[in-house]
Amino acid sequence: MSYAATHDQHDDHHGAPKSFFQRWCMSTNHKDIGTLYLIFALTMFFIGGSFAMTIRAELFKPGLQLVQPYFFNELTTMHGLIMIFGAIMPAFVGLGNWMIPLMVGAPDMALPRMNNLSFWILPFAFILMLSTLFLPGGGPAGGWTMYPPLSLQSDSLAYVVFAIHLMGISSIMGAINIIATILNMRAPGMDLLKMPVFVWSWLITAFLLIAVMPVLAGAVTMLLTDKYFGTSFFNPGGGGDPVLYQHVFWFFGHPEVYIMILPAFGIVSEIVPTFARKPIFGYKAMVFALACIAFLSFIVWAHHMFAVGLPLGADLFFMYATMLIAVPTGVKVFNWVATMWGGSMTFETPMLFAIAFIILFTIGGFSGLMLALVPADFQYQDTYFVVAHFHYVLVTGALFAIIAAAYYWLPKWSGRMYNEFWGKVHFWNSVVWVNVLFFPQHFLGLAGMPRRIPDYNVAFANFNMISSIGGFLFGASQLIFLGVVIHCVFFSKKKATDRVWEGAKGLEWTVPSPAPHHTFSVPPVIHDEELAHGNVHA
Amino acid sequence: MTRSWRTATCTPDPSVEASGVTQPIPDKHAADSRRGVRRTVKILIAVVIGFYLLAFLQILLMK
Repeated sequence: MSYAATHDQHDDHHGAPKSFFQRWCMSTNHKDIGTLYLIFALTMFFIGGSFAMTIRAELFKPGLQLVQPYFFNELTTMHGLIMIFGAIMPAFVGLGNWMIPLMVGAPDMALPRMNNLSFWILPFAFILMLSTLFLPGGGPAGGWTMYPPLSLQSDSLAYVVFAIHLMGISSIMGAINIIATILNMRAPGMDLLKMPVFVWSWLITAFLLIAVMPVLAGAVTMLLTDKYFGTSFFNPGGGGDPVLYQHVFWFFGHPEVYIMILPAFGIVSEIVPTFARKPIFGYKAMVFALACIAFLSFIVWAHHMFAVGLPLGADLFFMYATMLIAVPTGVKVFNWVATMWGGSMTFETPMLFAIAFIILFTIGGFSGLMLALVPADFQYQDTYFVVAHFHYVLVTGALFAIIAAAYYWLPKWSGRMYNEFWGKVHFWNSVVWVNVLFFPQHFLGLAGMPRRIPDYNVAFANFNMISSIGGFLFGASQLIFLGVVIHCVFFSKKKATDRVWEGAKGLEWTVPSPAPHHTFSVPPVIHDEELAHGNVHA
Repeated sequence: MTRSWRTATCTPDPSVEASGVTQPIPDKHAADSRRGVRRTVKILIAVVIGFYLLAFLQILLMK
């Protein structure tokens, strides 16, 4: 074990409002708002997960089993929207809220009231979106990408568009807050190139959010005006073009993919050095790789649309630009491995999830390279191979990083250690069953099974059954995580030390555990040797 | 001198009062931070509003 003896309990809530309403609904404290984001994301994760379980139950064997095809399409659409906008993104915002001020030595976020507003918009947006499932016409069923003309057939389009506008406003406010905090609230001596990689990853992600969320707003507003105000942006009958929507949507959509993975890179870059007991290998290269990936994300959007019939020159440009992303991503993977190389490693639960992230995300990256090849993509387009690819990237990538971060920082948040045995039970169950769930989907896709269908040819039966069994057990494994978190926060007797992990470095580990309600009222003094990546100027 | 960021402008500092200065002098770092936050937020809000206007102008022009 790399954590050491306990210390006396600190006054963890000094200065926090006494009443429940004041503390949680009116809060301007970055830690409380971070907690709210994380609870919200966990709730959405289980709601989106229950949709996924129903999808896998329907696909357990050929034929229609449990749900009608239209409801199946609603489930796939809602599952995507909820997991992306309700679970992954808010979880990263929650982690950012909690950790960025602690990591840069700031007393709070730069705009605390706006922080409160950007959180409290979200529950209303998602209640609005989920409520469409109970409307007479049903919820959206055209996929999370909402391609016209299919999405225009939905009676609930206006509700979903409004919900997406709300989510976009929330994300933009959060991004402005994060940029203002990082650029202006750092403690004296915390130069930009001394910031933890997680902070860098969020700074770059926040710029991506500001750049692309208005594009999504424009795209869905055009859908709205096409349906209700007589325009023909995407209607060929009126001189429009449905492919235009795909261009606009994916100009948002591809940077969105990196919005969901860059903070995960930052998390892994914090965890690996801690448990390898070495500074991160190639700190500056890691930061520049993040920036390169963010830049490249703006010039690859049409690789989602090879099959629509782009000019050959466009196909070639987007293919090569997409393959170029493998270079900075490779820099990151090799640097994580180099950080571990020769390190005095221990394998606590956060490190296990981080290592699983590196291996399994790389598998998702490789299948992404396969999809980037234009001739191959014509075969893979809209098959389960694509489903397998993006679930490797987003589940074993983004989600595993979020879980790793939760285990890593939970002792700092709660002041108590989680149960390591059950953490490892959670890890091994997750890592085994997630592969049983998603790996066979590669074979299904290569064999030609289309995505977003409730019924399929009997030739696909065996792999679908295996995938569904993996899905049920992976879903059940996450209940272990819920149990570990609840036990840690409310029942654990094992107090966490301030530093928690023996190899942990950085400002967040210099405050007591649990982190007091107010921290760094006095700016801390920065010692280079105390930073996670050591003295980069040495 | 290191002072609280939260209270720098509103809580009298005994050492400052003793020196005969009636108004507490905010430390430079906190003042720079506040000014920087205001400037950053103004720029970012202008960029976001610009993006939104561009998107909706495009919608109007293409209509």
